[in-house]
Amino acid sequence: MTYQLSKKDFYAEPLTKTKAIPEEFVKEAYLVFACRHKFCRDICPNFDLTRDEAHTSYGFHTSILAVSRGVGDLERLIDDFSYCLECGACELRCPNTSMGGDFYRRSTTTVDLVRKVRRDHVADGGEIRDWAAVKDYLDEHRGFVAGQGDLVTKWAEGIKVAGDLKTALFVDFFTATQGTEVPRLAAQVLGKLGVRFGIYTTPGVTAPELLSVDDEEWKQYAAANVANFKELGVKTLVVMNPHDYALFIREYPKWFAMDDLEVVFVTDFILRTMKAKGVTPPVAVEGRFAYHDPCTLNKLVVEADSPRELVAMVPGAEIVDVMPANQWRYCCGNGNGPYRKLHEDISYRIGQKRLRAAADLGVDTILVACPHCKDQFTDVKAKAGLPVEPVHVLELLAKAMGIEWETTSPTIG
Amino acid sequence: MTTVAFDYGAVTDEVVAELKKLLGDENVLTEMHERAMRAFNCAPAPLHRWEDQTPDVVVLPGSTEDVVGILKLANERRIPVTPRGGGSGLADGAMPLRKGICVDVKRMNEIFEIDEENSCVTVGTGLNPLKLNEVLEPLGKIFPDDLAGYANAVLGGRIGCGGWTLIGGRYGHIPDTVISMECVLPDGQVIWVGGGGTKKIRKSSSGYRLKDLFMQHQGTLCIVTRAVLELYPKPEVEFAGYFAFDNWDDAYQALYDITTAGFGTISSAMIFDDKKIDFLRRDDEAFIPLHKDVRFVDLMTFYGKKCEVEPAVKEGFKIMKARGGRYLGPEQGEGDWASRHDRYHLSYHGRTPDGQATLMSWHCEDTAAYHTALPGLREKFHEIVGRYMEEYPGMFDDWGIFIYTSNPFKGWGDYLIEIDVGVAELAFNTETWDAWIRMKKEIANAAVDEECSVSICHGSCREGDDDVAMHREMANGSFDIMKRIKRMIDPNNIMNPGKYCLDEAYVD
Repeated sequence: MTYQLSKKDFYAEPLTKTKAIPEEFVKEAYLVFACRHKFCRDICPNFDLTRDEAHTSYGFHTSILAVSRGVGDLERLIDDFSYCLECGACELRCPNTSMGGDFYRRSTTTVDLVRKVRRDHVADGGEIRDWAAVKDYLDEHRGFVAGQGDLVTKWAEGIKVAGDLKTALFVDFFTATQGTEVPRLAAQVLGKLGVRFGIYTTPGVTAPELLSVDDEEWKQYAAANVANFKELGVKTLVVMNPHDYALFIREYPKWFAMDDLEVVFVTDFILRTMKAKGVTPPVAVEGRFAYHDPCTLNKLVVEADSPRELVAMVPGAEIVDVMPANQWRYCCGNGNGPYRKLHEDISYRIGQKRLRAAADLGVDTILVACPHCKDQFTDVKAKAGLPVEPVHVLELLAKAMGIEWETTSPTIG
Repeated sequence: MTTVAFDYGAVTDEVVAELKKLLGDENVLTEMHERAMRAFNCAPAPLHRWEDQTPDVVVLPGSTEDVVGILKLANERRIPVTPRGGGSGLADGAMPLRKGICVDVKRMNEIFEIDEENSCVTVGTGLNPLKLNEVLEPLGKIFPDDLAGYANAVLGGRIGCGGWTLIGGRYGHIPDTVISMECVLPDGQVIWVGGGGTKKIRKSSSGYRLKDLFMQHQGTLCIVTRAVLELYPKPEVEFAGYFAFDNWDDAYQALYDITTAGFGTISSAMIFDDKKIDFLRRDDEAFIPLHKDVRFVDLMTFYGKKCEVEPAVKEGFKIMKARGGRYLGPEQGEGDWASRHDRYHLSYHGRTPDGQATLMSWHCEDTAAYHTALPGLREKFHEIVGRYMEEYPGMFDDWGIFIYTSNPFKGWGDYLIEIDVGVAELAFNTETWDAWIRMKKEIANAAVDEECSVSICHGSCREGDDDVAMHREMANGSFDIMKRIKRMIDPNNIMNPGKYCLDEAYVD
């Protein structure tokens, strides 16, 4: 696991309407303004469609710098900040990250910035336009956590689990209710590989949307998780949803010591297990497939190889890529926060563009490694009528492993 | 400089409502921060008086028709209009000196036609050259615009400043690679200008060559909405070779030798002077470290077919070595050339007088010079910047000099000589801003003293440059003609007013 420590202590001080922007924050905003190469702008999938630079990392930082100079009001920034997908492309592309980040400790942290500004805005009594759908989602999530028990593990009906949690599957609300195929497939593949595992049944609210409005509540859930992992003897946590994985890699280490715990993304874990056991998939699955990198893996944590490597192990399967550099591939449009719920139309158009790029490769299947990407592409495909089916990498792998799995997963919620 | 008062119309709620009716609510931006971020470009900015050049409203047109509507409205009400492209310019062409309407053209980024058989492409001027080349790459074609702002500039801005490109020695610069363009005049009239009167003909003897009139206009005459661009076959080979020299004289003569040797494939040649090499050594992350005995570096690049580039490279090696140049190897060449678009941004390259890292923004003062003027200008530029560094400790830093060959389709002739200056922009106040302008003006005057030009690349409409450019460099009657043209085409002076000293066109 690679920890990306980009914690900036001065983010702890709230930005408010009544106080001057703290000097360190001004410097932070200036560093992006002063770059002026604006690589962050043209790499942004949202800007690609709206062409409004107020919606980019350059725009966000310049707005704050302007406010610090008395040009603009803090509370008026919030609408423009809502256009951030929280995908991390701008952070990675920013020369401050790629050239100065290590040396000067000045990586650009746009995702953290957007969440902080939103959080401070709410704490300062502000409202967020069109937030109702996000609030409903969070409330549903909280209700799910409160219910716990059967609901959390209903996806696992019929799956054989170990009596201990030394190796534990981490399945969040979204995956346990709307992406149930992922843990079911993972569990069956792991079973086939002879891995003993349990299911972590108290995952708390992990949504980045909550981190965006109430980091204290989010941290309470996170703290409970960390305590539970310790108490339950979890040594290896296998994470199904890359959005959670990015949080474990980027956020948890800022607040909690997790030295005794190994957090692994599910495809990484399966790949290393197969390699360790010398297992190769025996069944050929002939086909040329597009593959879509989840932004949480290829941009936010920069660990994105295992899904491709798993597909490469499948006899007869071939990935056709849209471009040579993995990091710059386009977002699915869902984003890593509330974006899809706030900007349904642009989200759809981003997804449409990505799916069309896959169709242009002459394939009929786009492999994914994220339940949110799959959910988004499923909707986009239906709405746009594009002839490309989103399929999770684990489904392909399961077929290649000769696993006959249930195509219809239990529906929950 | 003459100051003229104009009775401009205000951007009222009614004007905003009309703009929204024309473009849709989402394409008319009125929030202060949305306008404020369109106040500046890539050059050091007067942050201490930010609001003075913040536009009253920003509009995002999506088509030529949208631009026609905006300009008609602005012209009727005498509202200043400033076109804005990528905001990557270094001459403040897109800085709205009289506020008014900022026309951000980035939504006009369509590719209308790729005409492979006639080697041209028709695009909207909100398109970025990198994005265009991503589309052209599978066709084996390129649009050879290779600038520092490759990833963020757009064609409209490139035309507006008459852009220069790193590989222009092989392919030509923007005035050469734009075949024709669609311009919307202040009264809403739409015209096409090119070599003659048609869209895809490069060279014509019909009438005046109006393309050149509307090239590097800096938004003072029109808004360019579409352009037909030249396509080239993607080069089979790109070679970049870096050579170390012990002294200025050898590096300077080697540059002359390589650029006058008559290579058809040479795309650029340049010198990094000793202060530039010192500056690059600060960049612990990005630049391939150079051995301490390297004082000057010459670069030669060749683009084209393998059968022509390979023998040219061999000959180039002989030329460089004959002047004492030491080849720095492929890693240096490939690494530095590959990072040519992003290596100089980092604000922590600034140094205080005691050598500590400090936040500074980067600016380069570009001038055009012929070969024999280069040694004197190099010394003069360093002397000017050094003096201001002493007078204002911690405000300015000398980041060295680049010299590039800068002629279309050949190596010899003019050169771009630029001195890069680190500026403590966050600390600007009235006094230090004035000092900055005086420094720029001294550099511009030094160029004109040698019968060279204030700018070859960025444009000369920035405060400090415009006065020298218009009243000295163009004082041979050219500025008088510019004023007459400006007043004829833009009688209400709504197009980017305040630039190029063109307010003087309206003095009776």
